[in-house]
Amino acid sequence: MRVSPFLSSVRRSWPLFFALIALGVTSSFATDEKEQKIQAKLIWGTDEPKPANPKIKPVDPKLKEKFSGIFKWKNYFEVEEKHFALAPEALKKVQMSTKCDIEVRNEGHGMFEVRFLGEGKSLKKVRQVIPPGELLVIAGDDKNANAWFVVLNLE
Amino acid sequence: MKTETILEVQAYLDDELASENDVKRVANLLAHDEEAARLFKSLKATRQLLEGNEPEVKLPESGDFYWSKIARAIERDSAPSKVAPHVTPWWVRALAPLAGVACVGLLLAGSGVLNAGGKARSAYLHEIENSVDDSSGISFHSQSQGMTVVWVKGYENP
Repeated sequence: MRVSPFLSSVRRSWPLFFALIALGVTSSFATDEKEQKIQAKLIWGTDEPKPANPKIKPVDPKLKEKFSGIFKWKNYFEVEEKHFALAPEALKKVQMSTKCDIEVRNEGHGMFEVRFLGEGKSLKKVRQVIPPGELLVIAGDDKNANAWFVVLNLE
Repeated sequence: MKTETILEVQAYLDDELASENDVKRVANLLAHDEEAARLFKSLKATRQLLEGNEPEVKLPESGDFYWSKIARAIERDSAPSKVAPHVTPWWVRALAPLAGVACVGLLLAGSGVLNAGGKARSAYLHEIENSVDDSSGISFHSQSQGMTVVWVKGYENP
């Protein structure tokens, strides 16, 4: 049985069609598997004025507005800021102060496992998707009715 | 005894001698030759024994019909197959790859929907593990501020 030239050309194009689909699927997965840049900040919330330490600076207005919408403190000061990158399934320990660290694991597809360590002890572990533009905050009470915040967001 | 004589005795017994003179000659031989007479007697006894005990196979049908059946069976087996080959319609062959593509598309679309749903849920639901017994806390998600907060109690002075 003879096949029309049109059908024959359609058949010949199938391999190209499947190759394009495979390329698209592969690239979509590859996009999910890229290294993720993360920003981590240690913030101090207080009603007191800015301390004399020059390394401590007020948080940016956008973050202050977000915090003021939730928390009660008047001022928020940035004590430490770290930037790091995590490949999929990579784990990194980041020192936020002399007494506290975080361990962050990139589980892929936007999922992260964050472990908060105080004086070397693991106090809290959080598994959470961090969507772009959103914040993951691990916080606690500090002395004199103040508070501390470890803020993570994707860059 | 000569081989020719033996053969003549056998032919005499089977009534296959060519002429009347040969028959008379062999009959005369059997009457006067003791050895030839013994051979004749032995052959005759053997033939009688076979005639009385040889199994007879009878065909259930006539010979012609029996052999014609075998001939037809041979012809049928050796003839080329006349069954028409199965021809798939052109539109089935053209659409078959499309069905595969549709399956792949559905699979990808399904996984995309599931992943999207999973991420949407995960933005509000998270797993928290207290690693120290005396450490407790609360957690909440603020959609308006785009923030998930996990509050750790019992740890000051970070």
